Order: sequence, then C-alpha cells, then structure tokens
Amino acid sequence: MSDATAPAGRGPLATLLASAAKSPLVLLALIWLLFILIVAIFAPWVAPMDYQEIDLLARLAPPSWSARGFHLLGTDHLGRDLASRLVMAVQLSMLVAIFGTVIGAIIGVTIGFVAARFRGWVDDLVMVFVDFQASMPFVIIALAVLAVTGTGNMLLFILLIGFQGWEKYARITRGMTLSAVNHGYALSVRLLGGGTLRVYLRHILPNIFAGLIVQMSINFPETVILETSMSFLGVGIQPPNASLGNLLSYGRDYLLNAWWIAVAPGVVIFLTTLSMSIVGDWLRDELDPVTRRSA
Amino acid sequence: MPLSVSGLGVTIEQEGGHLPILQDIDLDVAAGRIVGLVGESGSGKSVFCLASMGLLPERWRTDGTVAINGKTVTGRARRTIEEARGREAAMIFQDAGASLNPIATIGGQLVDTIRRLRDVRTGEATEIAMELLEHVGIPEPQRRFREYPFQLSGGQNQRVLIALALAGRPRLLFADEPTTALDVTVQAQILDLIGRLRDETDMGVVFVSHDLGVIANICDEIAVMYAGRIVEYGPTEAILRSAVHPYTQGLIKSMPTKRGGRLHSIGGRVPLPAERPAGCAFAPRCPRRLDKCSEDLPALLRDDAGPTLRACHNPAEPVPAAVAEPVAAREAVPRAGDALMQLTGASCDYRIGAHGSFLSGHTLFRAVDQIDLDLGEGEAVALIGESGSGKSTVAKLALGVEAPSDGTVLFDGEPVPPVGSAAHRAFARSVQLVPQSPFLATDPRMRIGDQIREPLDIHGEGRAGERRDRVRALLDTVGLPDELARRFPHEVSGGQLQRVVIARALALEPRLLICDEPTSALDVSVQGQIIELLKTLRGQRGLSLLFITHDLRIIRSLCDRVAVMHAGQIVEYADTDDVFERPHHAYTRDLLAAVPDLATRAAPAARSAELAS
Repeated sequence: MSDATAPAGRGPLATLLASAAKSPLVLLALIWLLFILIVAIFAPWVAPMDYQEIDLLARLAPPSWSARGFHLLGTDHLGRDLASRLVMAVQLSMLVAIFGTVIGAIIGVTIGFVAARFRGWVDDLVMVFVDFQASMPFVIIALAVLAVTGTGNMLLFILLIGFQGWEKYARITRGMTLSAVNHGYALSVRLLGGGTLRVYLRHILPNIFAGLIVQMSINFPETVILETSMSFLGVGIQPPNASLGNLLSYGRDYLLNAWWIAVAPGVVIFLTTLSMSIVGDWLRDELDPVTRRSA
Repeated sequence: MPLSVSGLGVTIEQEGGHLPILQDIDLDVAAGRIVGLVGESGSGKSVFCLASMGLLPERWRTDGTVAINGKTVTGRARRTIEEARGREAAMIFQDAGASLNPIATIGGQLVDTIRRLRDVRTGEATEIAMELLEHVGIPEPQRRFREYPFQLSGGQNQRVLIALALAGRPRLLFADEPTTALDVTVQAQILDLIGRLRDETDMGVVFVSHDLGVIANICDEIAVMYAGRIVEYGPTEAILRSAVHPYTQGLIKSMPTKRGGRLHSIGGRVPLPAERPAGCAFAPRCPRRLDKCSEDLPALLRDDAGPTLRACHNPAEPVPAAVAEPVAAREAVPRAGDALMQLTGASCDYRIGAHGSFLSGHTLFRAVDQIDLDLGEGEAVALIGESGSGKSTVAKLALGVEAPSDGTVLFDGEPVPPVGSAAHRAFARSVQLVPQSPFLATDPRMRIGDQIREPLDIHGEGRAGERRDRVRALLDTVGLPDELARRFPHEVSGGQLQRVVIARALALEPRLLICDEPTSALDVSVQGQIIELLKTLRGQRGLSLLFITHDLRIIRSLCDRVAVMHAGQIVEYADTDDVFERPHHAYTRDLLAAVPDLATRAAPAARSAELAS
C-alpha cells in the first residue's frame, strides 16, 4: 500500500537517476562505465593509430607525446601503440563480457524455470548440478573444455564464458519463481486457461526481473575477470587480437623495464570491475523495496 | 490513570516537509476500563499504540504528552518508557505466531521475560511461568512449556503472547488487533480471556480492531479514528445507539449482522497522510458535507445532548445500530432440476513432509473427507467453516486445481478437468475464481486493463479493438471508471482491485463463480460493495455462486443455502434461514454464538452498569 506514496508522474528511471545523483561514488562509477561503453562502441574511431602496426624502431617506448612519436601510453615489445591496443582491448573484452553475461542469464533463467516448473526429480537433478558447479572453480572447467576444443575459436570462447555463473541465475530464478508461483497471480492466469509459457514469460519473468538485473550486475565483473584470466593464461583471446587480459600478460614479461605495458590495462580492469560492483550494490538496494524503505 | 494522552501528534520528517500521521489525540484510559480504537486501515490506530509505547522509528517525531501510570514518557522523559515497557505497559499483536521467537521454547521465552521484569531466579520464574500459562487457559501447561510456537495453534500462541504481556504485571495493555487472524470461536475465547484478566487485575486496556462487532462486545468506551484523528468518542452504548458522526454511522451501517439485510459501504478510501485535505479529512467521502467542512477543521466537542464527543460540523440524526435495517427478504430462487456442480463422496488427500522428492517419504492428510455437495444453475451456496476445515480445498477440487483422491467432482455432468489439461481451457470459460486477496491475485507489474483483457487474449476472443471495448464494458459492469485500466494494481485501493479481479473473472462470461473469502482481505467499509456487486451480478446474469467464507454475517442476504464444514466434512447443509434460525448441528450453533454482533451486547452492558454503581 505504501507503494502508492511513490512520487507520481516520475518514471522508475528518473527516480533511479535522482537517487544516483545523491551518492558521489555511484555517480563516478556510472560515469566511468559510460565512458568505457562509449570507448568500446566507437573503438576504431577513438584509437589514435592502427593497433596492429609494428614499429620496431620504437619498441618499449615510454608514454610520450613529442614529435618523435605520439604514444600516450607508450609502446610494447613490437613497437605497437599501447593506447590504440588498449582501446581495441576494451572493445573486445566488453563484447565478451556483455554477451557472456547475457548468455549466462538466459541459460541460467531457463534452467531455473525448468526446475521450478517440474519440481520433483528434475528439480533435484538441477540442484545437484548447481551445487556441483558452485563447489568447482569455473576456470578449471573452462581450461578442461579449451584443452579439448583448442583455443582460437572466438564464438566458442564467448559461449564458454557465458556459462560462468549460470548456477547463480538458476538458483535465484528457481527461488524467486517458486515464491512468485505461490503469489496467486500465476494460479489466476492458469485458471483463466493460460498456458505455462504465458505464465512464465508474461508474468513471472517481469516480476523477477529486478532480481535478475542485480545478479547480472554482480556477474558482469566476474565475467570480465574470467575473460582476462583466461587471456592472461594464454587460452583466451589470441594475438594479434588485443584483450585486457593478454595485454596484461605481455606486460608481465617487461614489468621491470617497461611498467606501462601492464599498468594501463590493469587499471582499466580494476576500475571497470570496481565500478560495476558499486553499481550492482546500489541497484540491489534501489530495486529491493525492503532496503529502500528503511534507508 | 494507566494511560493519559493529551495533544499527541506524530509526524514523519522528510524532504519537502512534515507528513502528519497522528494529530491532536486526547485519550484517557482508566483502570479496569477497555477503550476500543476503531477505524479503517490507515486511520492511525496502530501508530497510536506504538507511539504510546515509544516504539516508533527514530525519524518519527512525537508531540504532546503521553503519561503511563502518571509518569510522562514522551519528550525529555523518553528514556523512562524503556524501563516502563513490560512492567508498566505491555502490548500484544495481531500475528502471535510471528511475535514469538520461533527457535525458543514457550517456557524459555516466558522464563527469560519473567526473570528480566521481576528480578527473580530461574526456579521461581519457572513457577510463575507455569502459573501464567494456566492463568491464560493453556491446556497441559507442563507439556506446552517445552514446546515451540509452531507446535501450538494460532489461538494458543495468542494466549502465550498474552501470558508474556502479563509477565511484568502491567497496569496497561495495548491489544493491536489481537483476534483478527483467529477463527470466530477462538476469537470469542480470547475476548473472554482479555475481559476476565481486566476484571481480575484491574488493568486498563487499549483494544484496537477494525471490527466494530468485536469492539462493541468487549469495550467500555469507543474512540472512532479517521485519518489520524479521533472523530467520535464516547461510551460504547452511546456510540452504538446514538452516534452522530457520519463516519461512525457509515462504519456501523457497514457492519454485517446475523440478521442479514443490505450491506452499506462508505465510498472512497482513507486519504494517505500526504493527501489529507484541508478541513475535515472525511469531507470528500461525507454524505452530509457542508461548504465549511473542506475549510474548517471541526474540533472534538462534547455533544449537547449526550455523553459523546464528536468532531463534525453537521452531525447526523442518531440511528440506533440494532434497528438500522429491517431483515431483508431474500428473493427465493427455485431449485433447478439438474445440479451444475456436483461433488459426490469427494475426498482430497495431501501429502505431507515431501514435495514429490524421490529422496524422502511422506504421509497423507485428508483435507476433505467424502463430502456431498450440489449446486444448481443460478443458485448461490455458501460454504462456511473455520480455517483448516477444508473449505478452500473444496474450491480447489471444484476448479480442478486438485484432483479428488476419492469420489467424483462433476461440472455439468462432466468430471472437472485438471488445470493445465487441454479440456481445462474450455472448462475455464464456465467456472472462474474470485480469490481472497486481490493484491496476490493480480500481477503487480501489469496494467489493470491488460489483466482484464488477458482472458480474452488467452481464448482469442475478438479483435484488438473489440477486446478494448469489452474491457471498458467489464470495468463499467463492476462500477469502475475507464481510466483505471491504465493504472497498476498498487495504484488503486483494495476494494477497487477486488472489483478488477471480479471483472477479469467475468470476462469469459462464466456460469459459476467460486468466491474464496473475497472480502476478508478488505476493510469492512468496502466489504458491502463487493457483496452487493455479487448480488447484482447474480440477478443480472443468472450467475451461480459458491461462496466460501468464515464470516457468517455476510452471506445471509446473498446465499440460498449454507453448507457448514468442520474437519473436512459437511456437518450441516440446509436453506440459509434454517441454518440461522434452527441450526441442527452443535458445531453450527457454536459458530453462530461466537460471531460478534452489534446486537449481542447484553453481557458487557450489565458489567459496565455494575461498575457505575
């Protein structure tokens, strides 16, 4: 009933933004994410030069913007411009992380719906797999799969990354669905003659969406870290493509005499995942009516 | 004086100003008196109790003074309430099960409280706890002492909560809807208990309820609250016999009685604190509104003639509650030859202890035991019983949600198909449900218009434009304006939303409507609207009704026949008037006797006469 006191005439988005403006930390995080997103979308135009162009005369050059060479973040061991490589790496890493997160959500939600719909032994079986997944680091599974399939297949890699976190989606979807089914509107629709698909997609999904959004924002940084770890280990994005992980990996070899190679991608990974976590926490508080009311 | 409140106001500090919750409350509770607070939800009854006990959130500001047993507990003396709580004043709540600690035994909770409040050792506290349990009428206190709240029934938990409240021997008790969640027969026992304790300990009691019948039965004085103010106040007799405030009169007229008759209702709803109008807050809903009502706030003044106080510019003529309405003659509907819905020897078992898991076993519980029930075309049958009697399970059998474990459930000569089967789609056009809570039965994230249109979408009725017209016509049928279609469920009142649910159920033009407690989640002031709407629909459409309720009072004027359920069986099934006038079964008689009614106020009246002399 107290929902009715929400300010009328303002959409949910406007209300969200108004609350974001109150916290400088959340605002900074949102601005950083927006910046990263713009860079990722317009990467080829943002990059100062060709990210694959080799200039052996300017190898391991420190950051400089003199007439001799315009390298904002210096160059790597083949003389490639790091700023350009970083911009392209952001694009590829974000692409993998976003698709990975969405794929994970779709797979997890579907599995959660199936468990909640059929209950019984189907539910038990799904939950056994969920527990199994939760007790096993995903990196090990991913390494095992890549050992069989080989590296270099981008589509396969994105799919694999997408499976990361499915068990969390499945678990919360199952839980929220079970309570939504008991909520009564699901039964009402079924009594009207509505089928299972209508109940789950038209009614339950919109009602549990807030929870899923929060889970996605928590899962997103994990996906970024997984992709960078895989690339760092050399089984993820393969050269000459640049990803944040493999930039970091090259940087490791030159950490003593060319620190800038590792620092720039490291900072980007750190800030992006931190921002996403801050935004995720904030979203959870905002979308959960219980915490919002007591705030 | 156990409680003395003067000029109590409660405001919430927030951006853009103060939100007044309570305003200018003056109330005294003398020792040995029970003062009832009555009003619709949102009128501030519970906030009054919490404010007096110092239990409001930090951000809420309290003005005025509250004195408990002569000690001021507001303002600078705020800390005193922390010590007074339990010893000087105690409180009991609606949901006793939720107020008790689920992981501590009954005895453990009592002993802890007694040790804290009375400064005694565990041994002595145990003895006191046993005495208290016996005192509040818990059978086998030795056994209950070691049990947990979930092992006790709702009524027993409420008794334990009362025992806890008595642990510190308070002289003032706040009872916030203590019987609302209980069955009528249990409710009557708890009311008796509170009355008895009052007589024995001479404590003052503030009794909050939305049910004027309950209030009338137990209270010596009544304060009627509306939108954070007391609008009428006086001795119970005087309020019931000669209330002059239009709101009080509306509440009294909305009360269903055992004698039946047309149920009145108060249009509109209680304004939220942010939308309270200038002047009298009741003015927008008031039938006797004058121009100055919306400008001047009426003060709570003594009535010239009687012993009551009221805040009204244009008080009405007093209408005695008991004779407000003569018994209405129900139009008798001739019994049709064939039964529309027929249950023959139908039983329903539930499996307990497992949810169909292959890892664990289960036991069977028979919720409905071989019942026979038939309902003719155009007939309205009421199914009455307390919680756990199996009446909702009968609804599930009739809707195909549950399959009978034994016997048959026939609709129009055919077995009722299970929900989700192909045959059920056709069945859904003929039989629909109006469930208990409209807030649960509607999708909170879908617009009301879309929800009413949904059955038409599901069954592919008409084109998009036609469906929109049908939605408009349906809204009109249930008496709601068009513009409601664009709103979300949380943007309308409970009564309006229940009409939306009825409109959705009517969309496919069913022959039978199964109503499962359709008014119990609603305020008493709108209960009448729903009942009258169902009556009208019956008349207009020849709709058959299976009306399930625990409240005997509301069905007298609506239903042709009544089936009384007890422990999964139908113990009495007869014409409505026969059940009310000549009940055969002992259980039916108990049920009828336990119903609080404005007319059954002989005993408390005698008691207050004794007190006065």
